[in-house]
Amino acid sequence: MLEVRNVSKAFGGKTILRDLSLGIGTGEIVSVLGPSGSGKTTLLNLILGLTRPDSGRILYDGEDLTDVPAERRRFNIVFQDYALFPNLDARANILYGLRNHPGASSAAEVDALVDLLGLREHLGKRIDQLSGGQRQRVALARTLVLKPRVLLLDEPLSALDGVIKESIKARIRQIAREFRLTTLIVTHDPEEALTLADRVLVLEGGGIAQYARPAELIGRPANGFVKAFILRQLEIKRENILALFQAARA
Amino acid sequence: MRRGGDGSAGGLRGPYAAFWSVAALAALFLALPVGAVAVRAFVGEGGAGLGAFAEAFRGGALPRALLNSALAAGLAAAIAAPAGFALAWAVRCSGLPRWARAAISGLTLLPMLLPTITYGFAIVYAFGRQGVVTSLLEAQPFPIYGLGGLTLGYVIYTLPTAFLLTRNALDYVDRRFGTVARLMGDTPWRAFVQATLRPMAGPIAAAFVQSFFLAFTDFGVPASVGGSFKTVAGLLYDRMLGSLPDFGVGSVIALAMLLPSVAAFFLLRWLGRAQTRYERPADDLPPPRNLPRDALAALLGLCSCLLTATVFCTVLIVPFVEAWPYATAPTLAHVRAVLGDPGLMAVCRNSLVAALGTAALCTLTAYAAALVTVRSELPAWCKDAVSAAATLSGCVPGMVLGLAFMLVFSGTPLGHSLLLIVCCNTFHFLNAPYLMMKGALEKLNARWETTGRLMGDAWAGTVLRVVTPNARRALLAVFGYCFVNAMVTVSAVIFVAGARTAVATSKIKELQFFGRFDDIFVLSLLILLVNLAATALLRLADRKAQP
Ligand SMILES: Nc1ncnc2c1ncn2[C@@H]1O[C@H](COP(=O)(O)OP(=O)(O)O)[C@@H](O)[C@H]1O
Ligand SMILES: [Mg+2]
Repeated sequence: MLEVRNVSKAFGGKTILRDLSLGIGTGEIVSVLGPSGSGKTTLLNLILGLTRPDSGRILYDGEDLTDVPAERRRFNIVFQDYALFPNLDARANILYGLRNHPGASSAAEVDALVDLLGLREHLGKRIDQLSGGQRQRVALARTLVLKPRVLLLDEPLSALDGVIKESIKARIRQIAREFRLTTLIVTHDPEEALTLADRVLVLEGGGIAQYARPAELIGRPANGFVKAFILRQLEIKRENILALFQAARA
Repeated sequence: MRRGGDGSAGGLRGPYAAFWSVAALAALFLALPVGAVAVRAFVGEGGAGLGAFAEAFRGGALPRALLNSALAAGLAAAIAAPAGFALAWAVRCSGLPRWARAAISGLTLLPMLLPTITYGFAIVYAFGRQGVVTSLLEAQPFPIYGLGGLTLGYVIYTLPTAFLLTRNALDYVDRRFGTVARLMGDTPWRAFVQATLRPMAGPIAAAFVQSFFLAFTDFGVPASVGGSFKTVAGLLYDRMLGSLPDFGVGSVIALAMLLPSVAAFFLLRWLGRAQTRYERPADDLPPPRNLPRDALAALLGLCSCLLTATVFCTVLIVPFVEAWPYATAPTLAHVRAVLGDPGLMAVCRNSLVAALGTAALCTLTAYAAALVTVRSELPAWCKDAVSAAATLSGCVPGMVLGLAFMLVFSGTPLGHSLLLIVCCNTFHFLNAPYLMMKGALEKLNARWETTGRLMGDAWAGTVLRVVTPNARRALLAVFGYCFVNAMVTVSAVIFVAGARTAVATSKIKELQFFGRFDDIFVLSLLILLVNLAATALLRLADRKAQP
């Protein structure tokens, strides 16, 4: 169980997150949704330990991690641009962390992960020879061999195009289930957030607008912002798509 | 890209180590010596006062030298900046074949591989009373000792820099503007003014200031063709290494040299910031066919090549004939004599060791400094201190730094050692390598260190295993820059090199005193060959490093 308790964070006098509290169950997938600048990345950085909260605590299974440095929390992240190491091939990228944590995964586990992510035939390739989706999967594998307790993904899909997006989404769900991995996914796309996650966290104005299951969010939006920001977008999308299909049928 | 921010302090041990190494070196080998010069100008053996100033200004020697330097440097810059731009235009905007553009670039840049002191002697051998050109023309084209020779030497010295500056800037001028202007019915000249000359005004001005700064602070050219036309650099040399060194007066002259340099440095920085940067157009279309334009470009290129060739053919001829111009039979005697002279060979060895040492130390220092400023989460004061050191290094002329080293380190165990030469060169050159490294490191993904840290790396681990391999091309370029500059520099070294640690350039100055010009040209040729070899090697390594 990952807990964020009464966390506040300001940058240069401007409050980004105010007295934020939430809990995420082990193995749960939560997506974080909010307009640009609403503090989604800041929240990830706080959980990771890259940024210190001005006040409040971060806990995991009851252990207070607020003062534990990032590298010892056993949380990990896949950045939006993946931050792969271009001087190393895909294999060396995936195995990078095992130098420092030799016991984290066995050879068999790494093999299984490579197969799960469909990377077997790409292991010897340089990073610049990989497609966007392949890079994404290498970055995921590099993170997962270290068996993090919490996996954070910052806009993991925004750099990918349509079809790959769906297959990566499925892959992320599968991994979270298989490893019982607590997963936090930042996104600004309501459709992505609602189809991917067990629960959706909507941030607005430094606080939580709503934190609920997708169906609940759709059925009972907590306030005008959720309605305007999420429901409206989804409705427009639905209407557009329905209109397309109707036109095709007519 | 924004970094993680105020993360835990545990990960800062590596960055602090890099910072303190750079800071300690910069304090000892830059701030302390330069500070000592500033203090020494005001405080003499007899206590504090303006005595040294009175002495330096007595008889008007210093003001006259300042004026002379400014005049010659200004003239040279006024020629080199537009000429450099014209050549850059010929190379970048014409339809000349690749080989021709490569030849123009190569020959225009060639003087960078030789010490400036050699230019002077080359000018004497080309345009002097008995010179190659003089005998061809049967008349001396212009008096070479004094303003004429000085200006020509400075032009040769600063033209490569002006060319490089304007060429790099031209790459950022969107050439489609020219096409648009032509399509809107502008004449070729108007289109050129609108689309090329206008946006290049800043870079041309920068080339002027940079050329002025280089010429104003250069020692090699006036040392060889200055004659009785005294420059600041010559005055400083006379006062310090002539008969009786006077540190007070030397320090005052050094300050007089430093102030315009500081002004030039900040003017350049301002010009660089004021410059609009256009996105480099993705489609680098070859320019449309245009015969008159290409003919003009070819003519410009030919002029530059001719200048380089006339002046430097002497470097290639004189060592291989008996006694230019009296006995012109080919011989290898001079080369053999130099190669067989243990003293001169020791000098060459010193040069090589000093250049390799400088390249290593300067590259490392610049790299560490750039890591601190762009790839660490150190507090702002650390980053400010590092960039201040780089700035100071960019402002301080070599001669001033050399004098400062003489003032501070003479009599210490470091005094006149090759190690001291290496340290002096490192902080003489540091600014450009630092900026090169900074530019390269800024382009790399800002998340690598964080990613490495989350996988258990210390900062230094990620720097070693990820950042460094990805910065290797920039590191190679910086290494080459430092090596070549260390091989040809004379201004600072002249004060630091000792009897047993003479390097080729300081030895050339000494050989001049004995009139041993054959040896001078052989040494120059050796420097040129070493630099050509180094450049070729580095180009090979760079090709290998290319992904
Ligand atoms: N290290 C930092 N220093 C200053 N301001 C920051 C820093 N990190 C984030 N901010 C500011 O906090 C706000 C929220 O940023 P962020 O968390 O990146 O938003 P999001 O990811 O939701 O788009 C932005 O206005 C950003 O400028
Ligand atoms: Mg963000």
